[in-house]
Amino acid sequence: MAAFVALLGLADGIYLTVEHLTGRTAECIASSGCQDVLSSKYAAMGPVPLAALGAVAYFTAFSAALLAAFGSTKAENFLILVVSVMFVTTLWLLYLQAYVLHAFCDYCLFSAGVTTALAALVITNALLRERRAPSN
Amino acid sequence: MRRYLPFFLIAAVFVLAVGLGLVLFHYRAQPPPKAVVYGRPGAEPAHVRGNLQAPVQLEEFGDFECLPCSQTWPVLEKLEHDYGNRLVVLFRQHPLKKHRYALEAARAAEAAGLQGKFWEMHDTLYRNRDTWVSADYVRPYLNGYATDLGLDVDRFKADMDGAEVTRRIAADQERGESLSIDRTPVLFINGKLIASTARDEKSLRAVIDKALGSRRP
Repeated sequence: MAAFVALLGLADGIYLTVEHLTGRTAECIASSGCQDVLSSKYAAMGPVPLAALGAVAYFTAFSAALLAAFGSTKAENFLILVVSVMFVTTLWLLYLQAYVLHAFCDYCLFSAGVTTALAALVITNALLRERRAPSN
Repeated sequence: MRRYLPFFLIAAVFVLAVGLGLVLFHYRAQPPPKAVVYGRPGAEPAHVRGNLQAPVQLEEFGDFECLPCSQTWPVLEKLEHDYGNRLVVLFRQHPLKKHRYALEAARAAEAAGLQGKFWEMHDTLYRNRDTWVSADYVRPYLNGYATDLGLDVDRFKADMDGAEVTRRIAADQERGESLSIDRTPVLFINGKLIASTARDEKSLRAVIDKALGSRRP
């Protein structure tokens, strides 16, 4: 399930990366702040669009979730680490949109939703694993 | 075999992701800009800052409410200062419909222009963007800026709703539409479109230096 959710984020990240690299600005559907957010100085780290880093993060989360689903405990622990970093980054980006840019973009909010769903899934899985583990 | 299945799936998703990116890039890539753009003439006389005989002309299509425009403004100011009489900057009105007060702000700048203070109002609007953009009623703020700039406020108020201001904005917008502009800011240097990813100071300096024949400011 987590792997499937990560794929949604990966698709979003790829789309925004392409829009950035082609010099376009994705048009918002529900809100009106896509141009303000995606053209802001926070949309890239030097020459690298932030969306590309997001796509890499989602691909990493997808890989770890898949390996975890096939029984790798190491991958499961790595997934918790990756999703934690992604979730903290998401909170920071939401803060920037709300209080610095005063604008929201649909695609960024979608990504925030995906990361939040990933975090919820990973926490739930970790709690279930704890409960299933034999107590000493 | 099952042992290798996740690695196979990961590799497949990687290939699909890269392929999707490349296909999207192919379809979304913009055609290279024309060597030099002409289009409709725009409002005459244009708002110009700098030496009209300068070898480099930077034309901006801007919207005072647009955040990237207000972030580009200090960059352009610095370039104007550094390049002196070798750079001339033109401003064209392109208020976007999706911005609540963009047209009002454009009207304010044009009304100030009719009293010879377009650039002063232009700078004031960008400097105070965060204040008036979030106001419930924008006109008191615009009238306040007119007062601060020493304008005849009664005339400013009348001009804001006047035909000349409407005509100038419409002419600039017609020019923008003739150049297929659908966003802001859009910059042209000596008629060549600047990519939205190259609006930072370093990239703009590179283009200007190239236009000047690689001479440093």
